[in-house]
Amino acid sequence: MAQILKELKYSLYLIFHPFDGFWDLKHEKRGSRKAATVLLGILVLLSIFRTQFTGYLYNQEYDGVSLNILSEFTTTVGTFLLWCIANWSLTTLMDGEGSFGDIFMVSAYALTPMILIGFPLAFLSNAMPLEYGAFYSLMNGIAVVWSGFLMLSGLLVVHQYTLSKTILTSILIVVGMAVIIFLGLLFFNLISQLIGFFIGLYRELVLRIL
Amino acid sequence: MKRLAKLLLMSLLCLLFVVPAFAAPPMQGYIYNPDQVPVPAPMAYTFSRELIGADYGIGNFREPQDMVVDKNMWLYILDSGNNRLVVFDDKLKLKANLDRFRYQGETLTLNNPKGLYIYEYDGKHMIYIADTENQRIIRTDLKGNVDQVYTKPYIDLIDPETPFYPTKLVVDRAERMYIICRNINRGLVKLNADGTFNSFFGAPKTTISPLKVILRLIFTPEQYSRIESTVPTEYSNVTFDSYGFIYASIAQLDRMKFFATFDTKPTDKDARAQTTTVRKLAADGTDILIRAGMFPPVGDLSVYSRTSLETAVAGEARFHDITVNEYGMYAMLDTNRCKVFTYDAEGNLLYIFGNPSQQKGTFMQPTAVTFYGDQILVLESRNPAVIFFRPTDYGDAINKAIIAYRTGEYELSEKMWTKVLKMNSNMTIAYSGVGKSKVRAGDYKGAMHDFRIAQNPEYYSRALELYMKQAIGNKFTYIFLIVVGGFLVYQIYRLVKRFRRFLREGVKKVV
Repeated sequence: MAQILKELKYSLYLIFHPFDGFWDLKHEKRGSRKAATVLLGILVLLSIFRTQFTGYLYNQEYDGVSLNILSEFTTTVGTFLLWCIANWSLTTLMDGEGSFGDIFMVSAYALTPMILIGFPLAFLSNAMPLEYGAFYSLMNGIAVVWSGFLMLSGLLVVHQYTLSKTILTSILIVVGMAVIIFLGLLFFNLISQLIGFFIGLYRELVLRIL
Repeated sequence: MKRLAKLLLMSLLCLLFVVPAFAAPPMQGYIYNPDQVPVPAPMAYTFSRELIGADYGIGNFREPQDMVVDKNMWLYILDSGNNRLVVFDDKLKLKANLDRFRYQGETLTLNNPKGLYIYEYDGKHMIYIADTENQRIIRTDLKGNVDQVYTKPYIDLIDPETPFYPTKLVVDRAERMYIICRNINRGLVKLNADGTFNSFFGAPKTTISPLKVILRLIFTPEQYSRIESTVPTEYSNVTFDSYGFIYASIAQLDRMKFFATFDTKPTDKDARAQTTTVRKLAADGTDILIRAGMFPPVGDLSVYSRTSLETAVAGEARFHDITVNEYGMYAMLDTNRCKVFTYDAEGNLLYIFGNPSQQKGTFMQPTAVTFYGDQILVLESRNPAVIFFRPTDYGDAINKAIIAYRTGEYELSEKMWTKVLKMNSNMTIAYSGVGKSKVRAGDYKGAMHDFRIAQNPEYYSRALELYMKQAIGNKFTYIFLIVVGGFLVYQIYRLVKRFRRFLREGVKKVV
């Protein structure tokens, strides 16, 4: 337990010293997959918290009651895992040094700024009139850009890439995610048609022959 | 026996054609919710009576075109088909039936007049009639003595051959006339008191697309003339409010712009000003209408739906008349669907009534609408009659709530909006109304709750600001001091810790 806490606390160091931080994360065992999983859990909490507790002015589409924790969970974890899988699939082909566990760990740690800014911002947005909208989007922007930068540097360190290769790879990863989604939908569609066909076949048999 | 059978069969056949009689009101009310979907609402106005010419022994009206109520609640009807002006007093007794006017020893008659205005300032009472087909405007008193005839003014900006067909007009306190002319589309023609041309006023802006500019360069004039030309929209009617602003309605709606404004927010003022069904013109001719409602004042929103709530007429509203009362509420007459849409001063849709039908209390070819105390009158020209609509309990509560808020009786306003909500919980703006009253009463927290239900982010934001001021306000200094003080204490603590480590372990390990 204390170990995990220590590993979580390491993320606070990591976000300010990304290159050293990610190197030590992997090679000095300063972080762990367990801690990364905890971070992912906190991210899920964040997405729930944001939907439910962001002030009305910044959350106008939400009606206050129709929160679906399961769908929040699947969108957050699903996107995250999709990123990791696409990442792993591509970097394996492109001489990346990181294992899937490394990628998972690095990505989770890279999202720490989102957590750090997201929670207080969701809380504060309740006290922010529309005039503070610029501040709100600025803070959100900082969180996203910071996390994105950490994600890139993490990728760079963990796979031992050059900067240009890192950027190219991350673009390819996004394309890869789209391909995975497309294949998934195609597969789902085909399977459902297949099942439909067999159900139809079964019915024909039962109704006509038996 | 055979005859008996025949009789029986006949009576059975008769039964087939029996139509059940409905005692329900002839129309069902509706209102638009924030998602722009029509939802049922109680009728705000209901038919109370109708006024037809035959009841007064003066023969029926024929295609009456305009109707005005003056400050003494006298009712003036311009009976265009019969070329006469009919006047009723506040008890609806016939006061005048003018078809001949005396002017400098001659007798004047009207020829299909379309517009009417009553000038009532500084003790004067003058009736202006736009005598359309005679191409003139006459100014008369109640006895038919004409003291002024305005014919076509000299306007150097347009072709002198252009005929002058005034259709609607208003007159300001300085007796300047603002006239809609049928074939002049540069806005209102503003004439001085002596009938000379002053200027064009409040011309609707036309925008020319970049594509057309390029096409004009490439095409020959013959080719270019085949393209649909950009003509500025013409005003269909004008009226003054009690502060001297002109409200002008526009009958043609640009379809593209109409749909483009659907997703605009109340804060997108410029985007909303694009769709113009009504303009409020300031003295310099600029549009100052507030369009802060959930959607701009365009009449029906779902113009192609065939829901049971709306009539099965397709297309956008065509507003042919507008009337404003002293509380800034304005009602617009949609001649396409035969409905009256009433908005408050901020542009919130309050209620909709009217139906195209032959029944009493419905109208097929309305030409004018006007406020008459708390009633609303519609002038119908196909079955010529003035139709009186009186507010129901529901409509009355809405009116009272708005009037009470305008006159500063916020408690009464809140009470009335609450009453409205009891009758129609679909009435989103009632929550805004309750919220506004709560803001005035200092209950910012409650107001925020109501504005959230009303989906009114702008007012929510204001209430939140006030609430924060109330909650933090003077305590802000303390909060600031605590935060800064805490930070300082923490830094000092770190320094002390370092210093003690330094004492213990020496320079090397600390730095």
